[in-house]
Amino acid sequence: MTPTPDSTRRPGVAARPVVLADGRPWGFAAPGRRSAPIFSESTDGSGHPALNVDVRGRVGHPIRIERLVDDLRLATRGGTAGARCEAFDALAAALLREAHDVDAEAARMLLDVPPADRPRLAGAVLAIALGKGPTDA
Amino acid sequence: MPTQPLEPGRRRAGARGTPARLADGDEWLFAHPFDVEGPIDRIFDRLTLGDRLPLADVWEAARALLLANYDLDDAELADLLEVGGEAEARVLADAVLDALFGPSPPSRSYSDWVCASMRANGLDPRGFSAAGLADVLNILVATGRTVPLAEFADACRAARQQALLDTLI
Repeated sequence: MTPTPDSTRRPGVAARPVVLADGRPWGFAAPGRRSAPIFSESTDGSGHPALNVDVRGRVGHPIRIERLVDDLRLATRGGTAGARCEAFDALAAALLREAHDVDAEAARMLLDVPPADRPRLAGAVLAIALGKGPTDA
Repeated sequence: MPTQPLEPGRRRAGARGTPARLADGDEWLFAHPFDVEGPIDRIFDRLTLGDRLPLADVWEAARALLLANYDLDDAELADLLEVGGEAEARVLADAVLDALFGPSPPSRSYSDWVCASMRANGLDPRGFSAAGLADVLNILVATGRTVPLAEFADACRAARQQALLDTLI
């Protein structure tokens, strides 16, 4: 069965729509509020080691996405055209699959827009990856 | 050059445990618990008492379970254990609970409770009508000779667990 945006949408993932190769708007995961632990060690009143756990908050993507953004940045600074395309495709597929339950092959086909449409797709995906513009919950 | 993943590069020889997908998207191994007395006791107490399950305890347990299997510093652990809202926190908590207390046992239904309760008291459930069975089971529960259905059947336990996890964060 052909996947559709509605049937594959992951609940609770904030996303922004981008029209893909099938002509339909698909969600790409947008940055959101994230919480991480800050671990520190001290000693308790008896002199025994104690672990303290605090919270660090930030707005952004999960680290798995941030790494793909970093990879794309590296590829655009001196990488080959092929490396840039590969890094962009990996980032676009990851953002799409964060928001939709689709496999890698389905994502690849959805992102396979005509060459003339590629700049529009790249601009829209990069704007979402970098947290620019409004977000649909 | 693409960013190199920490898993399996930081994995210690002989590492084993419960697989869990963390914030970097890779599958990690939460060790079988052997040195997490503080967090495991607190989490168990909270679950038993029906109290809130603090994310800080989940993080502390996850840290101990990972450090038993991997060479990681606290900054790397923080990145791996980062969560983005309730759904991700719940997935992490479920993975930690699986590692600490084992995966969920095979599904236990109402019929399993009836059979187990009757047989534990030397009774054959096939010898009772549905109404008679209900009366006998009520007496067994009231006299402490079997556990209440809510503590046995998975549907009831799942509902209770869901209510506990709903209070996470």
